[in-house]
Amino acid sequence: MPITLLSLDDVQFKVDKEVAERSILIKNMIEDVGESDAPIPLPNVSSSVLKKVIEYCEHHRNDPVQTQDETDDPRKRSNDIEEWDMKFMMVDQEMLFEIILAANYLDIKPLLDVGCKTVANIIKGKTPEEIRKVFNIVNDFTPEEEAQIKKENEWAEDR
Amino acid sequence: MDNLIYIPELAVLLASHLDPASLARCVRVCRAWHAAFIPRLWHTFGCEQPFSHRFGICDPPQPGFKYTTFPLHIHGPPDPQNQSISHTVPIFSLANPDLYPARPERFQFCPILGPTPSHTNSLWTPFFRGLWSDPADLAFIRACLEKYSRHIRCLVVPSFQVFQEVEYRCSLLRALAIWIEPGICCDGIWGAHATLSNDGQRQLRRAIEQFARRQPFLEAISCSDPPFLKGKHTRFITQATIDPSSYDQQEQLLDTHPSSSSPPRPFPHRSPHGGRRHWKYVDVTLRESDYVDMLTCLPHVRYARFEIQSMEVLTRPMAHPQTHMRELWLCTSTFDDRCLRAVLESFPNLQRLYVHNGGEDEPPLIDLILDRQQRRRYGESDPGGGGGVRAEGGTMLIYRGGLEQDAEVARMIAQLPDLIAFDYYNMKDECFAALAQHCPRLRHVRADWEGEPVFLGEDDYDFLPSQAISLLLTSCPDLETVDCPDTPLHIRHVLDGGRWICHNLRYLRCEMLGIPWMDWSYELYESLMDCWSEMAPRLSLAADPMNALSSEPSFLALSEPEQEMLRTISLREQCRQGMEAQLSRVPLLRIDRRCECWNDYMHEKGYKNYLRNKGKTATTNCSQLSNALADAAVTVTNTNKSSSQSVPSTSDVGSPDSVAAMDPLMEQHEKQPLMDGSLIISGDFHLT
Repeated sequence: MPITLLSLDDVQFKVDKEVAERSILIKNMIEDVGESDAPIPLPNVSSSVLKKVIEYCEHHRNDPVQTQDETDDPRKRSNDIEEWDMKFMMVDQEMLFEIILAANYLDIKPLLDVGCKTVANIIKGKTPEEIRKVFNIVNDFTPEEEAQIKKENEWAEDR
Repeated sequence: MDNLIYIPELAVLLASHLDPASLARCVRVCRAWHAAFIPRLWHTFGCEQPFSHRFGICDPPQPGFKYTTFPLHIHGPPDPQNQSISHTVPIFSLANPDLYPARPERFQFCPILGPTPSHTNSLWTPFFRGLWSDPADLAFIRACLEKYSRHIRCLVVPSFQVFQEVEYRCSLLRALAIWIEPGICCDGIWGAHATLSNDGQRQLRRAIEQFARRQPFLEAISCSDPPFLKGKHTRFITQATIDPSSYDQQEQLLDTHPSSSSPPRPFPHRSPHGGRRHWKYVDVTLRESDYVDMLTCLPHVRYARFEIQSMEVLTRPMAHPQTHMRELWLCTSTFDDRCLRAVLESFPNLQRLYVHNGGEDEPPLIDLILDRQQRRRYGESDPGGGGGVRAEGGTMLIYRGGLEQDAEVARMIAQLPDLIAFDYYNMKDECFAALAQHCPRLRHVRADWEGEPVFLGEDDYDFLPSQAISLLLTSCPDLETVDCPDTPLHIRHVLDGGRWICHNLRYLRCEMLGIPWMDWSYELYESLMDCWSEMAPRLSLAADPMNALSSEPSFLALSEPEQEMLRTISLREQCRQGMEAQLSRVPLLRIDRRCECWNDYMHEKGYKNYLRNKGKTATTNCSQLSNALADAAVTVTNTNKSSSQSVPSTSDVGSPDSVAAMDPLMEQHEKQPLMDGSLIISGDFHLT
């Protein structure tokens, strides 16, 4: 039975129950409320983002459901990203962050992980200045502070 | 990106995908990033970290000292002229710590103990991150705190990034605790305490609380002690829930344990930010003797589960109580009152203590549930409450198992002045006595007595539990149920024990003893009753048949068996009235069917005549009882014997069923002595 999802901007998406239930939030909602034809409102997700998220869920509809233990297990949490996921994540920064926030809201742990990994990969290997540039962040430290923090955390950087 | 960083859960997740080097660069990006990633970065301090990385050695070294730069961070005040996030202040440790305590003047070598920097006159935030565990270092910190306590308004203790070095944390936090709570002294080392104004203490606590909110603090901890290691090694493996990054280690360790076919279920806890559940672990290797230190020094642990060989470690004095602990599960074969006292004192907010000896299908040694609701209620009604043991209210279930000593159980009971429920099997005299003496707030008692009567003289015995139950009934105002089926309650103690004040009593079940035994035959009894009718005019002046016996000359005409009979009946009546007086204070009661038969009989055949013959005075005395009996009879008619235990009626006294001896319908019980009577009085029966 298809589930109807209603985005922030009132766009309806019809998806299979199996797909929608990749989101733990929706899964729990369906369990709590019972199946009904009424659309499920997702007031935190815009239609463009929801479309991407559904695309991800459609692709991963047959993945085994991750248990909590597995997802918390860093051994399985390599920074490798599947090829399809990598392509899927090739979006502009704004969309990337929106997807992460949506994944967090909808409680889609694999998507959240992929999103965080993508951001982490962007950060890795960059100097603070480069990071600021990429993410358009203003440096609000005084030079003394920055020097202090650099000194304080040198032990980690030179490993 | 800002959105991401400001959601702590996401920041933590993102940080978990970053290596320390990247994190170290991230913290330099901006203030928001600094705040988000700093905890995680320091969290990555692991055992693989070489010391030189953590503690830079200062140049030039002073003879006999080595300076370290990381341990103590003093966050300067928000001074516009000299703004800084933190000062890294050199701290030193003595090469030979043994010399140190004797040479306090050496503190002068340390810059921090020189003149107070002018800009740090209002707000200091010492920031402890990793410290040596030697007494020297702690003495130093203490000296710092003492010297500057006037200036310190706020102190932040971060979470325990380095569990491998839990010894440090324990000692440090002990030191801090001593500092925070003046008056608590530990091991004599910390004889003098730093003082901090009340305001300062409040701020300190608030700061710790705030930090706790930002930091994924350790909330649960458990430890397994693989049996094959027992006795051979002194190192144990502990899992605690904090660090996801070490989960794999934990799992590997568990995999290698032959005993760990099923890893212990992790304690689930809510993420500090709400949302999904996190199950996190960290591995800690520590000596058994560190357990308690660890538990009391990890201020945010809420659940702990340990397997411990010896509870000796639990009996040492604690430096300070750990107020967050909610559940403590211990697997051990020995647990005595000292352990209990230590646990209750160390974890004043404990809600559940569960002690098991590890045997399969065995009941727990102790299952102690401390009820916070009750605690609050008692707290309000009893402002002077408190004392050494702060466990207030709760249910205690103790099963006979590893607790071999009855005195031990009794002492444990003495540790629980606010016990509200007690459940125990094979209870000895001492336990009853302790219960009656130490637990005035008791509500529910369920116990089987296992003891011997005290021989007082020929045919005379005393029963310690009887005294205790009587004491309970006269001293515990909240008592609701007493279910002690094999436990004697001697009528002597009912009559001599003062007024029952347990106005909420709804169920009382025990063995009624000491009511005089009428060993005459039914026929004799009947004839006596007839005889009485004839004697009635002569008896009319005597309200009390006992008085009649001694004062009315006409009574002397009675034969000896008749006098004896009258005396017995009189005694029975006294007992009955005494019981009835006590029970009339108890609102909702019901009686056992066996007793009912006797009551009916006595009412119809015996006492009616007796009362009639005694005239109006006596009738008035007993009218209430008669009514009650009539009510009870109606109630019981509708029930069979088995269900009678759950049907409440208005009020009555159950009495010995030796009366069966006089009941033609129950002649099979003819030889059953009165002493074996049982008393069951109950209303709605709930044992929580």
